[in-house]
Amino acid sequence: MLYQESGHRTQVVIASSEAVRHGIGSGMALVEAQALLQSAVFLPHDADADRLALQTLASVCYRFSPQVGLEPTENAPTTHSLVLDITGCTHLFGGDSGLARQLVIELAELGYFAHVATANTIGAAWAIARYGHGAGSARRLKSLPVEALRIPEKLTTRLREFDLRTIGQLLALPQETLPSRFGKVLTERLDQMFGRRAELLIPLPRPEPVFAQWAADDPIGHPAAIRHVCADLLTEVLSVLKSRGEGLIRLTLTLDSESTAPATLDIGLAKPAESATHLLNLIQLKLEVTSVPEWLNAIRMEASVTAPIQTQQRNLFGLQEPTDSESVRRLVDRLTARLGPAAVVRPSLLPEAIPEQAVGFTPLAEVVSDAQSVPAQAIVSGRPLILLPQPEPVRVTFTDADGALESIGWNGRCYPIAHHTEPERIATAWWQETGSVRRDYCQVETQAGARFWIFRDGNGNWFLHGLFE
Amino acid sequence: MTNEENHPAESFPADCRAVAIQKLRTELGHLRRGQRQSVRANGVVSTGIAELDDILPDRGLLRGTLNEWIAAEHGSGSLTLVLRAASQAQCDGPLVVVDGLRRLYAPAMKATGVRLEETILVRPKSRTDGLWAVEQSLKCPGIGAVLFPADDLKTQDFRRLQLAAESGTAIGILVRSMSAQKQRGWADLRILVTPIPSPARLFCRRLEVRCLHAKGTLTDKTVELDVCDETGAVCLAARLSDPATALRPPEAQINSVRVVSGVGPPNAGRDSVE
Repeated sequence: MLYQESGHRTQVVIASSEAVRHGIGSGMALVEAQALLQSAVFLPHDADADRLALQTLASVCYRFSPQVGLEPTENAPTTHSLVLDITGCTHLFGGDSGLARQLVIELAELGYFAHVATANTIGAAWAIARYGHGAGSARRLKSLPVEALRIPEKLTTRLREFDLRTIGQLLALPQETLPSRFGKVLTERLDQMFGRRAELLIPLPRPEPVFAQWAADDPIGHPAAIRHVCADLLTEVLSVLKSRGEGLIRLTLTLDSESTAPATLDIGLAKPAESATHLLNLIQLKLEVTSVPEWLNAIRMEASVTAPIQTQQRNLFGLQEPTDSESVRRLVDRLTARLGPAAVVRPSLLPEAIPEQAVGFTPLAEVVSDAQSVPAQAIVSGRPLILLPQPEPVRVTFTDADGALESIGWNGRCYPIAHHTEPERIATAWWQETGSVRRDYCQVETQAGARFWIFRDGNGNWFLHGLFE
Repeated sequence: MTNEENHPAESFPADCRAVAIQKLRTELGHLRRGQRQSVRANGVVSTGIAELDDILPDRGLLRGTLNEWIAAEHGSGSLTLVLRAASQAQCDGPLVVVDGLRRLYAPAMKATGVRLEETILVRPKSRTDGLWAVEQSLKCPGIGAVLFPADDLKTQDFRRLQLAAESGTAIGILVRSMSAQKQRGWADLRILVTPIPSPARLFCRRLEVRCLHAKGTLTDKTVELDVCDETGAVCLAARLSDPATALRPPEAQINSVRVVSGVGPPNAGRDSVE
């Protein structure tokens, strides 16, 4: 529980859910709370630190909305919420719920458990995030308690004295009588919640772009010289980011030359990074596989995307050995920097009938967390471990007696068949964009014990599609 | 210069030379056994198949080593066993699969027990990039296993990968074709997988797995396994339950058992008879 001194009284500001179950709430005297739950941990509340942390989190939210602000605090002593204007942004994330889901995942990555709600007004979103769930419909809002109106606690106590417990009960009263009975604040909050009165979102100032640049009349071309300049620029960029408590997610390097067009290098990272050595290695790897101008007159390094870094407790001896997961993350960064994001992927199963379309590949640099991992799909048995990129035509012979498969010819060799499975038809509908596909697959085992996956298409041609390696 | 100076070896009697060579062999054996003991400290990961573990000197794959799996021919089923072993190593860290030919099929990988969400699939465009990716992955401390189909591997590259494997804790798995058996490699363990014509049962295949070489030990053991493609179950080949075998006269059955015993050491035959 967090407490703070207010005048001559020390009161609880924030109580955990377990403390609430013991009857402790914000505004209760600290002595009373201690008497109710002696085993609880009581810490002084630092409102400024909270505000600073929220401002840091706001930088993450700029990915989801260009307008991010703190919760308006006319009547509350502290602020605990961020407000995003998501008008025109939701389609980029698959709708309101898609945006909310991705925002929760992003914040979870930073160690925060966030309640996210989307609604037409700030008041409705705040109320749903704190006291409800789902969409902010008028019916749902009416069922919420009066505390969801962002009114002073004194006023909620007074409302409860009149047995007014929900917003619906308040709306049932003659609205013109409310200001005289309970003050203007109540009507104002009700109007803000239902969109009858405008409420301004005051956006936080966006952080200045972080960049460093080097320019000289005498061009440089030696790799060691370029590396030296990059190291200096990186130190400069990281020192600014460190003061903000941020790490690099994407770094853009622009290499200018008088003779040729400038070259731009983008280096993406799986998680915010602050290690100069690691980043310099990535730059080096990228420079090795990119064609850069022979002579460089200017180099500009910009932190294109940044995010707050997770602080890690130092160990007793102050050693900074990377953990296993950290090492794997750095490996992914290195592989991505040299081979490209499309070459370092995580496979996933897709609900497609055609075998070659039943697998998806997500670049690991874009995988935000393991929560976005492979969706559960039923395992299909009887599929080969090796699937040829293109089915290869094979020559098939049949026995004279019963017309069964006798042998297949592939790769210049003839494989006599010992036995085979019954055909499995895989077909798609005719109205699909790619056209209709109809294949009859079967597994064949050669007399030597090898196993192949072959199919016959609609025209009666046979192809080898996979090997049961 | 005298003739003796030109050919110093000829100055020693033949029996002395043999003794010296034997002594060197013994010392080399001690050295390799010592090295194996130190590598064993990194930990042993089971292949997930108890019968297969039985023929391996450490009853599993050693972390920080290179293991070579040779498929006797196309469609032999070696990759099924390899991926099963690799999935066991995923308990220690992600599995890195370097698939330059882009042929590995994820649904079948999942069916062998590989957790796709803990798999890093690397698809390099060139052989050089592929080798670099394998080397980097083997050196990385948090990786469980690195799987790399590699048919054309030069001796220098092989040595490079072996050193990388020794500096990390991942299990390096090279999947190679029969042509690689002629090449002398740097792998700690060399296993040959040969398909055997199985009884006419659908979705079931029979594989002969032979441990050809294990550094620091004398081993040449063989086991026959039945792999059920439908359920994924792997068990010791039940030769006597095969109706085709059961119908043969008793002498033929004994001959069949003798052939298997002749391939490997005495206990390989015992496995097959069971």
